Amino acid sequence: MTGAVVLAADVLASSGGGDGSGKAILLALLLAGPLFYGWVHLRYRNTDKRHHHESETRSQMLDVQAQDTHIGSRTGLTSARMKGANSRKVRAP
Amino acid sequence: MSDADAPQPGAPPDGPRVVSTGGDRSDGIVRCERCGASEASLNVATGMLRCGFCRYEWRTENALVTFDLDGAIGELSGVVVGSGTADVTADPSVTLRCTACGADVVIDTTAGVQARCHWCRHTLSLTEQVPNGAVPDMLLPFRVPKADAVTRVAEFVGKRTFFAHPRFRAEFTPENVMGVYLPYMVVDVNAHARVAGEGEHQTRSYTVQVRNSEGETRSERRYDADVYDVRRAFDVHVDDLTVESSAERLDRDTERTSNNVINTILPFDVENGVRYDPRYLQGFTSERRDVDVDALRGAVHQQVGDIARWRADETIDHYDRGVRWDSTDVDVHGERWVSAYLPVWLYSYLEEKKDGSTLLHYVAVNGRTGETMGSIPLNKGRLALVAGVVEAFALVAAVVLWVLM
Repeated sequence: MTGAVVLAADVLASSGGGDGSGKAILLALLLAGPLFYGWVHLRYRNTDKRHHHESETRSQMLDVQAQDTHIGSRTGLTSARMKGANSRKVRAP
Repeated sequence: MSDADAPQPGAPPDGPRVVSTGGDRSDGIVRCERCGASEASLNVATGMLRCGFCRYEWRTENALVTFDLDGAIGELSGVVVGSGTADVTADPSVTLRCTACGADVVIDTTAGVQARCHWCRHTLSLTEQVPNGAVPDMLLPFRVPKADAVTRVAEFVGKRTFFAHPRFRAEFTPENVMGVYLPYMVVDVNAHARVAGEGEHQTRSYTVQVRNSEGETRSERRYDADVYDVRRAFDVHVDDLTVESSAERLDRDTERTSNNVINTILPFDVENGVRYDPRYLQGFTSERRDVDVDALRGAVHQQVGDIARWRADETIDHYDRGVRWDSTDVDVHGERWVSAYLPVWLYSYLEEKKDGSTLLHYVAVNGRTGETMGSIPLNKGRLALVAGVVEAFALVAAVVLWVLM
């Protein structure tokens, strides 16, 4: 159920403007029942909650060394976000 | 390095440096400094210990300062541990000899660290650090009073009653909330982190006309981006990373437990922890530590990696389309482990399911900050019914939208 909520949220987030937003609303309406079930389930059971150690723990970053090398270009990309971006994911490699 | 920090006799040269936090206190009667009575307890309003007879109040020392466990993290090297983190090897049962009458009293430390002498009625306390996980290096006293915790639990549940299980609603009694000292490890880490991956910086955004298989055209956005190999290397000092040190609390499978809600109420202001004194536990319960440093080290290092990546995010503003990290390497130069009892108000409810299985639900209140989180058993029948009605209305709306599109 939680997966359905996340999947629907991803689909809605990835749809662009214009015709895409109409389809996103249609999809949201078709999934309204499962989405409502999932939302209530999470609100009552809070199975998705955890301590955000990555941001709530005091830490200091020192002596930062950055190395950025241009390795190419990509054109005609359809998404506004980089595919596979994971810098805000906790369990990234 | 003080004498207390000196390597223990017989310890391997590359073994951890053990800081003794036990002092010279021995088990038995711990007396009031003024009148000599054996009964004292925490006054939550002041955060001080109060004698049960003469009402004298006193504060115990800050643990991290007293034992020099709060030194600069950048100077940490190797493994430093408080003596209260010793591997759990001993029997949880401890026999205390009453120093007033000489009677022997057995304490089961899985249930508590104090007992009353059955002959002379003095309160006996387990103070000496024996390796059974019952006596930590430090303790953070409760600051949120019970009445406040009851209100917070009632408010949390009050917002979640319509779909709550009917038996839970009937039996809910917030006054049954219990103050529990749960076992944690508080860890400082001095590490060097390296993260590497690929980042994209947008150079152009434009609209193109796209024709579908039916010959219709529509507008779509397209993006061009420069691609970079992105590498960051830095020192990271992690202060008071807090992890559970009870096998039961480490189980976060939400199908079996609701321990994740207890995890959610972290963090605590552990820098205000006091030297362990069993009298703080009077009127509360405590849970014995049963997980050792070595068993937790992997999880702690993984969390340090998470923190490092999170901090590295501050350095990648240029990559407005995002960064995909492909590797994170953390070299830990030094780590410092302290075992602690931290205060949690817990309301628990055992849900018995139709298939015979059970699920223990908690509503937990941080005993210092008041942060509250919980798990409420659901009335799944009612929820499914309402979700069905929502779906029916939404389908009608979808059909109308489909016709209009």
